Amino acid sequence: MRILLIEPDPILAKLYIRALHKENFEVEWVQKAEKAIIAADTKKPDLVVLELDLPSHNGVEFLSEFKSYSDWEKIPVIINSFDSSTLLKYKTNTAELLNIKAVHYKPQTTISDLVISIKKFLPNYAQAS
Amino acid sequence: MSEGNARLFAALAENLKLPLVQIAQSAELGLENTEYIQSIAKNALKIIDGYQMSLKESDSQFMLPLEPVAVPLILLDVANDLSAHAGMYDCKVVLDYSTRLIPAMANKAALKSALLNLGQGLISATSQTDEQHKSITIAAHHSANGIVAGIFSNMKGINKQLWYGGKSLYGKARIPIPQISGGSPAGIFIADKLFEKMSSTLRLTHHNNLPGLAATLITSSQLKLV
Repeated sequence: MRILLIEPDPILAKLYIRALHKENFEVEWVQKAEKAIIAADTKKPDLVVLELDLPSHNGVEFLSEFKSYSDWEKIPVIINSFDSSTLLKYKTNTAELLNIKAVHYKPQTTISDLVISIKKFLPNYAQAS
Repeated sequence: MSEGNARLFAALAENLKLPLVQIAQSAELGLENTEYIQSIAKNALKIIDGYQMSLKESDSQFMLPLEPVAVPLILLDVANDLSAHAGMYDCKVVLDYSTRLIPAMANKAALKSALLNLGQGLISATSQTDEQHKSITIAAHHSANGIVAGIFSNMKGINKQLWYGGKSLYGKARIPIPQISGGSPAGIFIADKLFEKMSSTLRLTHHNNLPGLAATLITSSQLKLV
């Protein structure tokens, strides 16, 4: 099962990749929204983990572009971000529309919390494992 | 607390979330490399030190005491202190200055703190670029008005608009400089304040065609006579 990890900070990304590899997930890591669109196209992820604070185009821009393609509409997205104000909007308004399955505020999220969310919302994870 | 200090404090608080999350999550995974965690913590402490030094701003007349300073020695110190942090971000630290630089008027501790804070900000920014060989250059050169000392980077997109736009947005927007995300670039604004307190201004400039943020320090005429 393949995760597209969109995380600008290399130190955090390495920690997430380490934890996800331990769980036998394949991880495609990118730091920018533009690269994430290309990776989504070429790597066909089963789930996306997204930081909203990205250099140049932010995570919200990525989401609106990403969800505009019918092929990717159903790919679940987990937000894992430092941006608490935008997070709140996603918790209340448009989460369902954009197939956002979970919203994590990074300072209050452990890596275990993130892994649990990923397992919970990865399509067919239960059958595969 | 003055409005300026409140804005800087908000930026600092936002900025410190990243190293704290890095430490917490490294500990969660049980990483045995304690030097790595120490380095993250040390860099966070340097940002706090710089902030405290700039706090005297509540007195708008307050200026840091200046003395003749050998800029190359400060640059060497900064390069040493930044090397571990840069290593974690796969970024190379390059030093570039003329050995003939004459002393400049500055506050030694504030100049070092300002350059460290700038360096951390630019290392983080550079790590998010597509450049294959990521590097920052700690440099100083003579100019008509004194000695220009600062941090430069080979990343694309550093321009005046970015800097002045960021300055006007800081304290209002969470990410005033989108090219430097993953936290607020408080260190850069702390550096700006510290240079202000040394009667100088942080501005966008170039060193050997590399863009970066630097300030012009007046040279020490006292020592020129010696």
